Amino acid sequence: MSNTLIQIIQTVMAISAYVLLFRNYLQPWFKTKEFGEAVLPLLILHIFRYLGLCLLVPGQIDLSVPRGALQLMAFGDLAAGVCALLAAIAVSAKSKLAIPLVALFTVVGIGDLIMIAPTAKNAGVIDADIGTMWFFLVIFAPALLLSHIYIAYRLLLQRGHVPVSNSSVASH
Amino acid sequence: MNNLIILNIQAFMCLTAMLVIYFTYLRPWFAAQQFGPAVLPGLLIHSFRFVGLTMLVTGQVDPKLPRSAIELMAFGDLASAVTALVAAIAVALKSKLATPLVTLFVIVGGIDFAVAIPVGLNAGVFESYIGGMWIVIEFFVPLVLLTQIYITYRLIKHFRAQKVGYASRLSFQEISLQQQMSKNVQRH
Repeated sequence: MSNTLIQIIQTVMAISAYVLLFRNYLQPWFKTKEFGEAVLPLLILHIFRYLGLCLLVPGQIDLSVPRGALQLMAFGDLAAGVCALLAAIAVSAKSKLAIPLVALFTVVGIGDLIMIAPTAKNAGVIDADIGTMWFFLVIFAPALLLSHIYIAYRLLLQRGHVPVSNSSVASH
Repeated sequence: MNNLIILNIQAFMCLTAMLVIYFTYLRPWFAAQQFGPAVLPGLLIHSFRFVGLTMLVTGQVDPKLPRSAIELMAFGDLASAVTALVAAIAVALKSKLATPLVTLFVIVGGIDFAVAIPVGLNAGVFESYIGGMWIVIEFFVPLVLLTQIYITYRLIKHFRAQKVGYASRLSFQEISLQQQMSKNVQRH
């Protein structure tokens, strides 16, 4: 069984489990919340994307993996983590900059996720020894992806000035 | 201090801490729940047993370890995770298949536990380099073990309740039949 196949199986399993978790326990809470309250816990989750910087720590990753690719992935995650932190502070402080900063985080974060997949594939990251980063890849990354989708969805609702009430969210 | 002693100390500490958390915070909530809501969180935890498949990833464990033993443990965990996920979906949808699927998961997950521990010990897994899997064994396995026991307990309780319900329905039917017969006798 190749590493890529294992990664696909584990990612599908993780996404399925997270979706079930969301539908059964989190959705009732999220759908009653206003934009700021709803996105804050997810932004806090994304702050932990600084963990991607571990790719640059000596001994964590196979030395044969191209340094350029690792740097792109590590700094992409760090940028997303910093944007999430700034957005979380703005949301928490109920600043006027909250929505623009959440939008910036969404662009940077999704851009990073889109860029990571082909970069990792071309650099052979999945087939290399990546130590404990494997666990981040199959457990943390699916949670990041799903929470990104939810933040983007709430941002679009906010942008369209659709009132976020129980009935409007339930219909989605 | 060898790896097995470290493993036992860490597993014991983790089990104790989790039991304290359960009895202090979780038990009141779980005790108030019906079978489905009570087993769903546990099933979702078991859905993450797919992490066991990481043992087959290049570089994650010592390549000298017997491949057959590693495969047995990894696929046992994957089978448990898949059955847990399917059972969780059935429970969440309140399907009629929920109880049979939870039963299937309890059997598959229980067998995996019974097989994986001696296989791991015989193959020398715990004395080899297993990278991040060591953390999984120390934190996740005790949680999985305790939730497996709890799901099994709730399943047995659920079966007993169903049996009692069936027996009481039968006795109610018998009483109704007897009353009808006595009415018929009085008429004649």
